[in-house]
Amino acid sequence: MAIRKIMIPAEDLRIDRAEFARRMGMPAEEIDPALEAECLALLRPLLQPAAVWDEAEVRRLDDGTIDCGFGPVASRSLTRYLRDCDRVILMALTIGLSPERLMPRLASSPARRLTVDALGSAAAESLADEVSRRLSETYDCLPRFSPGYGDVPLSVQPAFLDRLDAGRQLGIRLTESFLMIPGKSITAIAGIRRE
Amino acid sequence: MTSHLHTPITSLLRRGRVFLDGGTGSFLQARGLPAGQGPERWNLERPEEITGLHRAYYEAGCTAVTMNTFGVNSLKYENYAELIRAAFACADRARGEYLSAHPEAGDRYIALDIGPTGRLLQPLGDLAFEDAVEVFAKTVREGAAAGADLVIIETMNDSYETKAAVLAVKENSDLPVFVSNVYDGIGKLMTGANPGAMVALAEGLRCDAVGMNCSLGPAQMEGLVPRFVEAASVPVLVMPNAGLPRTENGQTVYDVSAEDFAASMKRIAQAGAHILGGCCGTTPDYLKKTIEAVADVPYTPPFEKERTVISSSTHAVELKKTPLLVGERINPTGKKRIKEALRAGQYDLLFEEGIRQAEEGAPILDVNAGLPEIDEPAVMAALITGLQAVTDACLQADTTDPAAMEAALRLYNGKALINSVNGTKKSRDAVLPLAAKYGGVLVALLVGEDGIPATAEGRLAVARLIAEDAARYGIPKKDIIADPLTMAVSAQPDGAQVALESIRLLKEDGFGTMLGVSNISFGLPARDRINAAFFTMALAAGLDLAIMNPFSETMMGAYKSFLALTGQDEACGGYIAYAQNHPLSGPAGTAAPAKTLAGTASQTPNLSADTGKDALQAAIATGRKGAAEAAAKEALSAGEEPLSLINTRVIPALNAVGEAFEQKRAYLPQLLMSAEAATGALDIIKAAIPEAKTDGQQRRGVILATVQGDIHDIGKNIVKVLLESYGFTVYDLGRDVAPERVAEEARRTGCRLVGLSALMTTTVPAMEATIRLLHETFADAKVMVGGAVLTPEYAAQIGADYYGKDAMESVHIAEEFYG
Repeated sequence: MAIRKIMIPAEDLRIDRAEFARRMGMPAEEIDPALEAECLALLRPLLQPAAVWDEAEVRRLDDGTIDCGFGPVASRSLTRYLRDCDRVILMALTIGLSPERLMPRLASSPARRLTVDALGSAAAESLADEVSRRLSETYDCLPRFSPGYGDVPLSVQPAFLDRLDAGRQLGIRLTESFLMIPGKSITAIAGIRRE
Repeated sequence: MTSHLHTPITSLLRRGRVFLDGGTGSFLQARGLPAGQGPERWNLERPEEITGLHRAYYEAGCTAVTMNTFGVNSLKYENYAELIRAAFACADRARGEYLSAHPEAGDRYIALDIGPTGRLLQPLGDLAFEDAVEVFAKTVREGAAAGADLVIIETMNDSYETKAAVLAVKENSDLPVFVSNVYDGIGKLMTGANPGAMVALAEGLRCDAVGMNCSLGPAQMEGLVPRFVEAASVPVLVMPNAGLPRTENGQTVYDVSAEDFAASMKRIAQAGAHILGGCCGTTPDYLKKTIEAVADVPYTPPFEKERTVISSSTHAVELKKTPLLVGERINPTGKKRIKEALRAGQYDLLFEEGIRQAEEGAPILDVNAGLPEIDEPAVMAALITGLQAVTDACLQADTTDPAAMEAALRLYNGKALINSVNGTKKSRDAVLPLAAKYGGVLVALLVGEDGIPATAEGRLAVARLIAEDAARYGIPKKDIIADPLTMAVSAQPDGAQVALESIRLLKEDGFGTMLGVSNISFGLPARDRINAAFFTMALAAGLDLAIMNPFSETMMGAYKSFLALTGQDEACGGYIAYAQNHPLSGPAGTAAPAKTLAGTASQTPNLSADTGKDALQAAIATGRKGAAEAAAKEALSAGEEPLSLINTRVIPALNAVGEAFEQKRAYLPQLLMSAEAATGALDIIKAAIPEAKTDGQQRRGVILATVQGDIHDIGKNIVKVLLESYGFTVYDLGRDVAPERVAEEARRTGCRLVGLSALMTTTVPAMEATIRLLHETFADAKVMVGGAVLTPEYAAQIGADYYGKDAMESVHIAEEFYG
């Protein structure tokens, strides 16, 4: 087992348009193309997409908790999610601080802020999909499960990020309330189906 | 502690290469350290392994090892002091063992290793700059007391956190300090800085080496090395990863072998790097092979590059090459709106002014908050931190108050222009120590103890006096820009002549030069004309920096023309681009359309008063801000009464979009575009309302905040723009706001309607606490809440008076509150 890293050049990251439209809360065909193009031109050069991942073993402990590499968690939803798995992929990824850095300069235009934010969210999701796609060449994985889903608390984030050395490898930090900075970052577990 | 040192490591670097050690993880994981567990615990639990690690690197030939303290700080470990002392003991034991076995070896060093805190600094994150300095200071004090020979600040992906760490080292030790950052493939930190910016920042703070580590392999770093070597006068440090890890037959391998690593490092040494080491995936073998590979590469010691450089959070700007502009607009002198904004603590107007000047072509912005009745250090701190978040332009701290100057230089995320020191002893004693501590390029105002010398020779003498004194603080002459002062030519006929002659003399003597150009025309009509003529003369005399108004087309025209005429504008590209955006006005009566109308003229070619009204509604409906502003101006100039314009045109147009949104016929981004257009029109219309009539309007205020612990502010900002577009005054406290701060704002403004936003379940308790405090403090306070996690029931449960399901709802609530 070892932490592996994936870096994708900013210009190569495909941003899923349907996801973007969903984040905008409107049909893709009604999005103002000028607004979209302008915001993408601001965001794209600042993107710094990167991911780390590793395999880990699932251990079900006597006290009913489950440990999949980042310490024991008491969680029914995670236990249910991993019922057919003995191993998992842990992943952390980020598109970098680009939306955060753009926001203050767009203070006078909330429409642009909303659009940049939606593009950033879609970019992070797209990056997660790209990482999953690459992993699917080797592993048969379940759909991703992230800390914060179900009854898995965000307080697992410090141990999760440490497990993947994500602070050092990706620059992901946590606030005191366990929110990730950069905000457009994703941590996820992907259960590997038993053969 | 056992110090065997004869030579400081900085002296060693004048003679030859220094080798730092490599990775820790690979070595220790092979000895049983679980992935994801910080290796620092082993300082106490398995000290023999840590000692063995250091010993192996010394045996490989490394000059210095880094203590196993990368992840140790007071935020992560209560027993950080114990961990640091144990880390030093391990390294010191390894050094003792190694030197006993190799008595012929020269000095061997131990570096205190400082990594990131794990939190991101404000404003992008939630850790205050001074709190970060204090966290690092604790580490430095322990490490220095234990006996470290130097400090290495490494794997930093934020320039601002790097600065906090360097200040902590400088303020708590006399140790040499090396700075190393993490760059992406195109040479940028996560927070945006490029190598030039980091070299400027590090050299300004008097670091002893600057460079990069982690994230990239040696081949990728090779491409970045010249950017450091060309810019830096201090040694350059390079510590790559062993490429990327992958798994082969169940074994972790890095894709760059020790041999390939060493071959790359040889090329990096040939490119001029002075300090070599490794990062993730490298082992003692990688360093051993590297040291062998570079043994026959000749060493070029670092040398003074004689560049005069300032920097912002993203890039460096070299002065004394092409003349540059310093935008003068962030200054209250003679500007009523800016004075009011400074007094009220509402800085958005000034930030906007900064963004616009940078867009207009000013690479440097002057920042002056000189008003007698304000707390200038506090205001300066707010302006510097706010401006560096909204613009990449470099900043010039412009104040005569030493406390305000220190606040600015300390908090600036880069190497600033310092305006100014003058020839008096009082000024030199106050400002030079600040320049020495924080770095920066000093503007020397050529005023002596007896005032401004009448002659150019007299002014040169003051410049020399300042430079001599600065040298005593270690500030080189290259970092001094002399401002010989411009005297109004109406009062002093030879004012321009003396200033120009001064520039020539100063340039001959090796000083950079700066002038506040427009002072020349005080007391004269049509000032821009004489300003521009004088500006051209000053540029021809060798002026390096001009403080001026970048919105003056006459002045910008003179500047662009000068560059074209002196061969400093490739194929006149800059001149042509400026001319296309700023065409000359024709003879009277045939003037080209005003700039504000230019964008809309083609869409609405015949703006009459009547169509102007419709054009205003249409522009708001379709969310075109420029068109809405133009239509508002048109309607006003056609005699439309301002308040009626708001009530019969702007608000109904906005209501129509709002209704469409509520009926799901329009979407949020469209509503926002309309709101922006309406706000633009409102600003223009309000400016036309006589002041007495606006009293009633101003009381319709709403305080907005994202609650403590939450950093999501998109929703809150949407509410803000909608409320503003309906004419409410919004007091926006930002995000992660403490309950007490909200109550304080309610007290300050007298405003009793508060909107709170929270996105996370975990921050709802903070929302509840804020509501409770507001209700306890002000019987008449009403609180509306909104955000993804809230429902009407949940809102009622935590004591909110109103629940806003979306941004339009907040407008209805505010209208209901104010009846």
